[in-house]
Amino acid sequence: MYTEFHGERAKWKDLTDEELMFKVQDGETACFDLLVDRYKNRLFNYLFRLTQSHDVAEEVAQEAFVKAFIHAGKYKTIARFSTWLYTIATNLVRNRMRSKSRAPQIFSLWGKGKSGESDEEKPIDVLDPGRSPDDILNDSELSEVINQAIEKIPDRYRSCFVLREINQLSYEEIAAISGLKLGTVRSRINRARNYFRQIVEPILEKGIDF
Amino acid sequence: MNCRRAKKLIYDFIDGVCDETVQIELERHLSDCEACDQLASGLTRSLDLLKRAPVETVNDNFGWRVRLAIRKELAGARELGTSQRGLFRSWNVGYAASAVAGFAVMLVAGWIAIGSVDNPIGAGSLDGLTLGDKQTTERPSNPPAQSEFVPSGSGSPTVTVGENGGALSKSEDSAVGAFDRAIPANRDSLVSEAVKGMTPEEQMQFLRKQIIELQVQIENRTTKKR
Repeated sequence: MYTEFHGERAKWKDLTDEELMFKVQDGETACFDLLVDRYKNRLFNYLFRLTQSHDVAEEVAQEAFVKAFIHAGKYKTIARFSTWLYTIATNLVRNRMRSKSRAPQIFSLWGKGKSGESDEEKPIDVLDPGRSPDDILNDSELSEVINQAIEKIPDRYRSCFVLREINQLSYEEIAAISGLKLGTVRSRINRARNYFRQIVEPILEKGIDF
Repeated sequence: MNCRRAKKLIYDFIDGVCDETVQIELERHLSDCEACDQLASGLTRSLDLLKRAPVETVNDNFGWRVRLAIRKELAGARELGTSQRGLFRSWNVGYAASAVAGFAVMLVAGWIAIGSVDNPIGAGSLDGLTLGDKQTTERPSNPPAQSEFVPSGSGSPTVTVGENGGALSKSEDSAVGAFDRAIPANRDSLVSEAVKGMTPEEQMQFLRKQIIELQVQIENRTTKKR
């Protein structure tokens, strides 16, 4: 049974993620709260950049944590907890997109574009460079610009790119999460970086200072 | 260093995995090549933007909502587990009975089919059963010399087969008793009589009908036993 804990946080706060997971496996289910606290924002940030929606990101993050807890018994030391959690979340997003693939505004993670054309064939839209510097002032606007740019990165490169550039994961971790080969991960990230540069550079050249 | 190699190394440089000598070489190339320099600076500047991006945060009650969702999930799983166990039990018994009945039918069908390869009109023990409109419960006209066939209802459910065949004793009440009975050596001629004058298609139809009747009999006997 899942139990809350009061005042025991200090006892466990020095434990690593993996040690906390073993505690959860041993029945110390309250340790999971600590893991939720450690990862909720990181996971949410990743999901938000992928889905471009606060609501969807939060929903998927919650679902990922629930799944991680329910299947805690299956967790093994071969993967870091973060990798495991991101894998669960990535699969959830992928399934969600698959089930809603008929909706035109939805993207897929690793596959081809909506209409079946390859990502390379899609035209790159740059952000509206006509926006004046006054229009882009604060953090939320910067976040918006970044979101728009990320959204324009071809589907298959986006997830690897976000994991690398936003969540700062290693190439090895991204390969484990995505199930891709290390070389493929590298090339996808580099391509995505190039797309991102092409999208964002016109804004930067306008001298807009975030 | 040419531009192609430089473009590859720019990404390593961004990742900070370039060793010192390669980095010096790359920097030298960038100072000489405007295109590569623009690419490198453009990448660095745009990716720096990401580093400055505000971290999106979840609502304050997120942890509480996760706890609630876990509780719901666990409660749901317990309910589902109980109903699934009940379902499994009933399913298991039904499945086992169906599997046994199905297997018996397959055996009979296979036996008849194999017999029909050796003998186009089938070699199954169809005596004692209704063969179409004809009853074949009568004692065969030419019983084999080495065996004594005792038809059902004669008081003794056993059949003694002569020296060559060894002894056979089977209960008529068994689920497949109808065709488990001892087979008279002239069974083929009985079946031959039944299908005499039939076309191959009619023979097949006849055999199919027999199989269906056998299935019904097996089913009835299995139900009675239960």
